[in-house]
Amino acid sequence: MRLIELLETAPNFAGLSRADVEALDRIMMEKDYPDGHEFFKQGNPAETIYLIVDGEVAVTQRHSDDRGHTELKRMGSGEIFGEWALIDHTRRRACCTAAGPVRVASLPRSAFELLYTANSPMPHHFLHIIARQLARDLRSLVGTLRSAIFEGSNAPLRPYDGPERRSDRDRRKGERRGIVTTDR
Amino acid sequence: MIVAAEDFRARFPVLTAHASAQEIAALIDAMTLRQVPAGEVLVQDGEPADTLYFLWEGRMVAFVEAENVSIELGHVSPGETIGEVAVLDPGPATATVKAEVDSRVLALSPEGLRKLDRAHPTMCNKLVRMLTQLLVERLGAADELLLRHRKESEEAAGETAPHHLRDWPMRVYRKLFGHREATA
Repeated sequence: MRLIELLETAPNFAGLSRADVEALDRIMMEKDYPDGHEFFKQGNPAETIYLIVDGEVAVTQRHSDDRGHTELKRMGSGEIFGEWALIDHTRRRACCTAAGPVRVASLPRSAFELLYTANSPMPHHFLHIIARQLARDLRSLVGTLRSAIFEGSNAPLRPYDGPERRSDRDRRKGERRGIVTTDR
Repeated sequence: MIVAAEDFRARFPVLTAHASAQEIAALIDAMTLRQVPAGEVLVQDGEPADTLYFLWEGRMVAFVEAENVSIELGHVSPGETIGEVAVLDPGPATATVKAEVDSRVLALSPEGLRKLDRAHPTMCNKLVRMLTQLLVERLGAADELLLRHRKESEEAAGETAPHHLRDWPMRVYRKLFGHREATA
């Protein structure tokens, strides 16, 4: 799959207009990466946002004693990672590594900010999509916490993930809902 | 107008820091003012939710309940918002929010948000950016607590977990609602 096809077909991006899709396709750098490619390390300055076009990316966190990593979650096609770079000028809170060969599109924060301040509609619509992903992450974390509180479940700690995530996505498949209007 | 733009600016200074009087007026115009008498539930845990509320006056409490156990997540004061996740990703509410005293809220429904996006897209963008920032901060605070919990669990392995390890899910839950803990 190519970035343009993903942007045109994935439910996540249903709120984007034709012009937004074309602008994103122009500005994002689409590239194939081999298995094990490290997109960023925990602690690195956060400067780029990534969108998985094809394949999977593993999100891991370093153990406090620096021996080994814990995998927090796997992300797949249509999902955005490293999105905190755009909002919170901060350091990476986790490591992101290719789990098998992947095709990923990247967008440097500087390019995003330039478009954002130029009042082009695309970065705003893109930010809506990121905000929605964050809201889903929070909702999913709440689900995990609730089972821990009320059912005494001792499920492994997986921030930003949980059993609801995939089913959430399935439930929404084909659903064209968004707070972005594209018909203006 | 249901409330004066300058009063709104005074009550919600972060959101309106870079907003013009016209933008604030457009936001107010997209909302409805609702009275919530003391004891009334504004948002019911698990019920469909899609509206963002700005607490204008009064005081509310957020909590979750199961099997006669009620866990308080925090209080909401004027100048704070309720339903940040709901407005971005409509779905079951993640907690119950009830008025402790006679209160008034400004409600922004999905239709209101679309109206705002048509009338003043720049204000809509500012709102989404504020919500995004809020979610990032809360997820970040929750993440730090989860990391610390994992570290302490590793250290306490084999021993009876101290109290603060057993109540970790509630503490993380509170972080997601913006609750600030005095002690680490």
